[in-house]
Amino acid sequence: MINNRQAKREAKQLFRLCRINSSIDEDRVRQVVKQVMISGRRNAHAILAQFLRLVRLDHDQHTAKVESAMPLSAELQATTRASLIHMYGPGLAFSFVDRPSLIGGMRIQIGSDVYDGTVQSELAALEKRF
Amino acid sequence: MATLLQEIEANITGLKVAPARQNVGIIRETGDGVAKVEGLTDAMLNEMLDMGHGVTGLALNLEETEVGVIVLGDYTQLAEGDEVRTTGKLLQVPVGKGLLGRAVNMLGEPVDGKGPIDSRVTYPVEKVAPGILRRQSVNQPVQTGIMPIDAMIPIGRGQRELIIGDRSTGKTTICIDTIINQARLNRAAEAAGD
Repeated sequence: MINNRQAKREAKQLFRLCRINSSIDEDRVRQVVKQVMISGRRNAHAILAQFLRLVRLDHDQHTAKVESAMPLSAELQATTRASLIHMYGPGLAFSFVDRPSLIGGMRIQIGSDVYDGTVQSELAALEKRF
Repeated sequence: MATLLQEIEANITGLKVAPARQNVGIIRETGDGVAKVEGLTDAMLNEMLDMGHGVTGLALNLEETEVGVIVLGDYTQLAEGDEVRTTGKLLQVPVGKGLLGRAVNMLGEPVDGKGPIDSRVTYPVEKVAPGILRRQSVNQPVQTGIMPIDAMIPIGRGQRELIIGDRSTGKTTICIDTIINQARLNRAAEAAGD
């Protein structure tokens, strides 16, 4: 437990070192991973697991995952990009995914924030109300 | 009629429903009635969380990247990777006279099979108590139904009471007897139309 806590703390410190102006520097991340691996520390695996988790969370927070039932037109994609950049600021990466199971509408996830306007979620909400 | 239909159709065409922003997290680990949820950046302390499968959770341990949740329900239905949503509501339970004589779980849901509780008012479980000066003075006793207690050391309604004693001296019995006596008094009051 103590080792786990220590690994968490150290991973957080390493993660902070990799940040430049609130975004992570990929070169520094690679360098940190390499250094921890060659350090031969006993809890290197735990530190790297925590570090990976922090990097993944940061990546998720700066990536907008746009899911739709049908492929979006280039115009709609551009409008969506512009709206999200207006809301969340520049530096946002985009990933457009087709998911026919959504039936219709669009679902956007950025980190913990979800904007769900899909028919699937509406039906699920309706089912819950009954 | 045709104009009315056209009007409705036009209204439907112009209808724009903006999807509300939700805050979600993913269960990272679960077991023994607790869960660690990654994400949920907007979760409040003591907020009720929708964990899916009709299970509610209580956000208790807010950390930088995850939230420690107490599962108020069947935790065996939850699995790693399940989505958890904030509800925006702090832990609250239904209150009112409809609750009298009912057996409920920690969320105020009935567990006695007597149907739903007739209560439209909810009250937060955790609330800052009013100061001493704002409180109403104690002017009514709680009838425990145990004559020596009610006669010699009466308990005031709204007071806290500590029951201490050795093992098997009847501490729990006093509490149960008080509950039974209060139920009897409530039934009598209800019968009298109070």
